Amino acid sequence: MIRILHLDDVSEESGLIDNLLRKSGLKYELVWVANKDEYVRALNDFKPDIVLSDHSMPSFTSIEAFRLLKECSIEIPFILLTATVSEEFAVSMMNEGIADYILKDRPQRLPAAIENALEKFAAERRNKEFIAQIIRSEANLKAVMENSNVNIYSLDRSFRYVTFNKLLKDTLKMYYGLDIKVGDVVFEFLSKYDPKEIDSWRDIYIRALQGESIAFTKEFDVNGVRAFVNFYVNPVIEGGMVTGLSCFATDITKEKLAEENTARSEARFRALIENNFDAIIVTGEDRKLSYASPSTFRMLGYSWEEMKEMATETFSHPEDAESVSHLYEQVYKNPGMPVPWSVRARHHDGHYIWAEGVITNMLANENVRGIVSNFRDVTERKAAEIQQAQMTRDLVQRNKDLEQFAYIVSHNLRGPVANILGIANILKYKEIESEERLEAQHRIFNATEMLDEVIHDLNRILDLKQEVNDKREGVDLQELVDGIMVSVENLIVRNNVRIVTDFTRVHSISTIRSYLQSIFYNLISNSIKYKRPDVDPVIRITSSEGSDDKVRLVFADNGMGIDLEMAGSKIFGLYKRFHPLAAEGKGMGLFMVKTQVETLGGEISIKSEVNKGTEFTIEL
Amino acid sequence: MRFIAIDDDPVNNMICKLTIEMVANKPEIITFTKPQEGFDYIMNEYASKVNSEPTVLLLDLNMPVMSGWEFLERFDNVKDDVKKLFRIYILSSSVDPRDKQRSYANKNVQAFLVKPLVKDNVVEIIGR
Repeated sequence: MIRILHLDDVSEESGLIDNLLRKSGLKYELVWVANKDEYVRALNDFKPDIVLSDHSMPSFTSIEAFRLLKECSIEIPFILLTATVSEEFAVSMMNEGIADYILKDRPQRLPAAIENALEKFAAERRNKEFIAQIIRSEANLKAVMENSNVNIYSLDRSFRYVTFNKLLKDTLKMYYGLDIKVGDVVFEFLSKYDPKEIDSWRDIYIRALQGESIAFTKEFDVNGVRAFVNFYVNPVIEGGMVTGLSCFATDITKEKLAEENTARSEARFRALIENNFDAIIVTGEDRKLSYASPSTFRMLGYSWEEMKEMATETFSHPEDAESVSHLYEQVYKNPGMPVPWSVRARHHDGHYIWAEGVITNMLANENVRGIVSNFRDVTERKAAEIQQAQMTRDLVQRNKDLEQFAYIVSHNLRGPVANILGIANILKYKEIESEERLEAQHRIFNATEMLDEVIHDLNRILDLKQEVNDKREGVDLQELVDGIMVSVENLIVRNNVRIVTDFTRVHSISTIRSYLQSIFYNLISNSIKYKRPDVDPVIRITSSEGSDDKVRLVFADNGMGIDLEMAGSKIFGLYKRFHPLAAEGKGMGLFMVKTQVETLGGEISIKSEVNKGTEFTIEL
Repeated sequence: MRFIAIDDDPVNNMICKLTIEMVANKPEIITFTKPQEGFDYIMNEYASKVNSEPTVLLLDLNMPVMSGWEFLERFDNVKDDVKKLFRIYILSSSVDPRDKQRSYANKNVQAFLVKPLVKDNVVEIIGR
């Protein structure tokens, strides 16, 4: 519905117009006004879409009516209806801005003129809004450009500056003393601030003109100071054609230098770590390695590919499992605190090295997020320590041996000597009858023999301790027992001895044959010597797997037994005798057994109950 | 005066007997090779009788089953009026100074004598 305001002092005119428009089929609402007052009121109240105006009225003219419209900033089409007007006047009105004019004698054109005028006005309004928008957005763009910390410029196809922002202008002015203007050719300036690279710049601009967007970083030498700039050169495309280039340049010197510094310091630290003799590994929360320094590979023989898949526990010796888990407990409990450790680590070849170092929980440190261990191979030192401990043990043992030797000299050697001296004294002073003299001579002889025996014993003991270097060989246990049984056959027969063996679990031992024979001989003959008078001796000898790859031998008899509470630690001592009345003995047997077992690197222990029997357990 | 010698070595006991006889006038000499028997004798002969003979006891140290030290330990528990009848001399083949020190540390021991027992020892013992 088009709202039409008709201004005419003659009312009939309005009826004519109404008729005309109705016939045209136009949908409209028509209001007629006859003077200025009505006109102004209708503009406000009726709000017409278009005004039709007579040219001359008694107190009002079409020119005034049109100007009134403009003054009120009412932008609607204004059509002049006139009979009197000259063409000339109509043209001048058109120049003032009216939409159209219709001669009253040819009114047929009016409906079309109304439609045209409305259409034209709508198009113009749209155009105006569009332009206003463009102006607004250009202002925005300008503001963005001018306030940007990016250098912005655009070039036309002849590489002339079309626009540039203040930053670019200031930058070129400040660093190169260049004063750029719109229309300047970019290469003229390039020859001053990047002369060596003109060809490459030309190449870049030409490529961009062919439609390519190009991003790159350039390094400049600005009065001896390095500067880094990121450039983006983009084609400006209008209607499918590249009409110019829009370019952006960002100074990234600060970032670039910081990056270089970081890279340099990282390289420095990396070099420190990678050339360190100590191994450094970092373990993630999953206990898998996230980093291992090259010395780790040297030390342990694995490659990174092999190592990264292994859980940390698999590196340590199974016997250290408990101490390792305790270590990790400490580490997890004390973030940031270095915890010292020392364990055996498995080399790629399967052997173990002693590693010693410090482990620190740095899981909370964002840059690490791991557990950092550094360690070194202390195998040689450990070996030396172990050797030293062994030497100390040996020395202590030697010292004990010496003490024992002194004891033997003091007691067992002195005994017979004292006897000889005593008897000699008596012979010197006393008138003795020949029978007593004979007895005394006999005693001296006996004492001298005993002296000789002790000296022989001492020799044997000293010998024994020097024979450690004898060769080891596989000794069949049953064969060994059989041999001993033959050598003491008459003892066995006389005492009705039964020897029961079970060597099914371990039938042979790698050892020094003469030692093992002596051990078996002494234990068997002890069991026979110290049998219970009323019970036939039964000796059971069995073998089995002991701890630490050793063989366990058990000798059990049903003899007199020993009161261990009384005998205590003396049981294996030299010249210790516990049953002086039951059988002859010098107290050498168990001493020899213990010495030989220990020389072979073994241990011996005893269990015994009086009148039940004795059981020796040997681990070899 | 009575002498008791306790030593597992019968030869030493014989030497003691002959040496004492050279010095003392008709001495009573009793020897034991088992300390236990010697101890039992003391308990029976002295503890149960009044006015027993003052006795010199010659005691060896290094003996199986019961050593001289063990003997001394047991003797310490004997009644005082029995104890005071005894003068104990350690008679040992040991030349180990520790044995000597330990002997002198025992309040029941008079002196430490090194085997063999000689006449001068007996003279000194009787002279006290």
